[in-house]
Amino acid sequence: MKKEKDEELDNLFKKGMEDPVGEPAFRDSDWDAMEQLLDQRKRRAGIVYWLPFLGSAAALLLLFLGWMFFKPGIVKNTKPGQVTAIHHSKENNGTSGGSIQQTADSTKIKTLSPANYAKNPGISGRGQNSKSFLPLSAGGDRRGTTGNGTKITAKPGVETIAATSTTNKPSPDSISNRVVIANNNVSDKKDLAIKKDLSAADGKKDLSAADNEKDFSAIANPAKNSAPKQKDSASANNLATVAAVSPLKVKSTIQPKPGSRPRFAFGVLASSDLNGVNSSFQQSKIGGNFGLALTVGISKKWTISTGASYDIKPYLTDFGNYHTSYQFKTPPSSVSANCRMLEIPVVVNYQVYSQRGNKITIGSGLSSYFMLREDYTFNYSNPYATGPSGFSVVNQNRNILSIVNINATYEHPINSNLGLVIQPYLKIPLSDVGASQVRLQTTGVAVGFNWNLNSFSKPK
Amino acid sequence: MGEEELHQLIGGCIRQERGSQKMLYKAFYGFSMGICLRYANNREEAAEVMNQGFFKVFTRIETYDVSRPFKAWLGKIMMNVSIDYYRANLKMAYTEDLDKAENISDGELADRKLNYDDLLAMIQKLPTAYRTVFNLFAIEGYSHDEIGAMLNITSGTSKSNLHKARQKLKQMIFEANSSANNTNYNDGMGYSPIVAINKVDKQGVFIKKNI
Repeated sequence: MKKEKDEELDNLFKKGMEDPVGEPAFRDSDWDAMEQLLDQRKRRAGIVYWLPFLGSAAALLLLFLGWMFFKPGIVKNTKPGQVTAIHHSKENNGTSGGSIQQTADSTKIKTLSPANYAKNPGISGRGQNSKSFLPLSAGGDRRGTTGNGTKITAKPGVETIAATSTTNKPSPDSISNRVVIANNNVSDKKDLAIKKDLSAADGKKDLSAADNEKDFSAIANPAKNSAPKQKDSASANNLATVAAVSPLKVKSTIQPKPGSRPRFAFGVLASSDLNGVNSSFQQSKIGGNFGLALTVGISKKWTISTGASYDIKPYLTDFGNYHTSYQFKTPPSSVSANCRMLEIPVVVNYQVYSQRGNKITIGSGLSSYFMLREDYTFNYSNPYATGPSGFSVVNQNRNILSIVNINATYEHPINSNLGLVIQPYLKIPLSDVGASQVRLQTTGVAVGFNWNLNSFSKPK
Repeated sequence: MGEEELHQLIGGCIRQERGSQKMLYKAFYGFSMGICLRYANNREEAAEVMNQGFFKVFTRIETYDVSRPFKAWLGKIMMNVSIDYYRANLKMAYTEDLDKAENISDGELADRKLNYDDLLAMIQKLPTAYRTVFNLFAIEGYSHDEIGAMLNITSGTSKSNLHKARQKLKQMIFEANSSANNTNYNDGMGYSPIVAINKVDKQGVFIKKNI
């Protein structure tokens, strides 16, 4: 019976609403508003058509700037006075290791013992330049060490110039560290890209000859490298091409020009935090966030992070902090809120500590909140009070770059690619957040993992 | 409007011809406004919602399947735009007493002949959440499960809102019958929560407009 009456009511309204006689008449003002809407869209469309071009231009500009900023240090051997060749002969495979040679013209070769070279640092075969570029070593901190302690350390990205190798000629003190410099001006620090620690005659062998061969065989020219004359001597076949040589361990005056390249890391983070209003966490509630982050290294110590996270931020605040134009008949005592939002941070980080892969960075930046959903529940002190019990807002509010984001990050390496991240943070709004316009601040700790994307493409 | 003429207008709208757009707008103005008025609080809001609906029609007219009735497609767009417009307030809950409505006897419904304007005024007096569910169930013919999915509420909430909407409408009809010459349905009823809710609704709209 009740159902029939309900259907009767429904039919009453259904028929009444579908009565064509009652349809409202056309109003020109409504069409005018419609035209404005359409014209507005045309203007927007014009901008939209430009967006791909503007985006492409911006991308190209970024690429160019990135290339300028991150391009590896390349040594151009166009000027006199540069290291022209480093060579390790394949045939120097004795126990003492191999030799390294530099030359642009074999006719200009001079062979020096370390002691001799120390006396003749400016020795060079001027007027000749080699034009062939070959890498010495691009691996991180690889060391090429000749026998008898002639040690060369090259940093990644270093490029040297190979030329023909020369005959070995042992020095009188039986340590034939052969130094061949063509067009070399040792004092020209700017043009040198090799940092070399040369330790001569210390009797130690850091690496075997085979290792040296691996490092330097790419630039060896065994055909021109004659067999060593004193194979029985442990130090007879060491040839080293250096820019500066000291009888003892000498740190070269040649300064490295490190080959930088952009570093990227991908992070997954989850956090639990406290949310409070107006600089107070006394009434705070625990929320949670999870998100993704991308970190770009712009220098050895500076990085920029961005990403996106889905935040769940519940909070409780006095009704006095809640802003609304609605006039409550009986004002609620407090408001409970549960906000779901998308957060996009942009944070600049500075590395303050790095030891054995453990890193501590501090970061500061701005976050944007895109409110996805805001549910407010009004709590009345009087249980018999009448008024709205709640209010929901969906996709209506956003705070662009108006939340200060301060954090510190500790990263502990798990393996070469993966790192554990612990990140305490504090987020302070510069503007009122959400439909309720409250000063919602957050503090918490995020835990996650960082994946070093560059490990996929180590330089060869 | 004949089928041929309608297809010509649609073709013109696809080519973004303003004349065709205006003719289509005028031809279906009454139909569209009729739908939007049922979901809106007043004529002005209904006009705004309707224009948003026509904006979607004009910008997505290529997606219209000509083998299907245009009116059904247009009506669905108007309904969806209306729901979206008020979606923020659909979950607004109320703590008001429905005792008076419960006391309305069912026999009083048809005592007075109610015209379109009377019925529309009653529907527009309903809170947004109740009005939307009542429209979808009683007039559009959707089930509670379908309404729950459309409004992102449970079917139980939908049933509850429908029940409350019916009670309120009965209450209004009772009032209309008892004072036939008085169309002010609020007299003596003290619907302060409804008045208050309308303000909140407007706040929500205001926020939306500013995005």
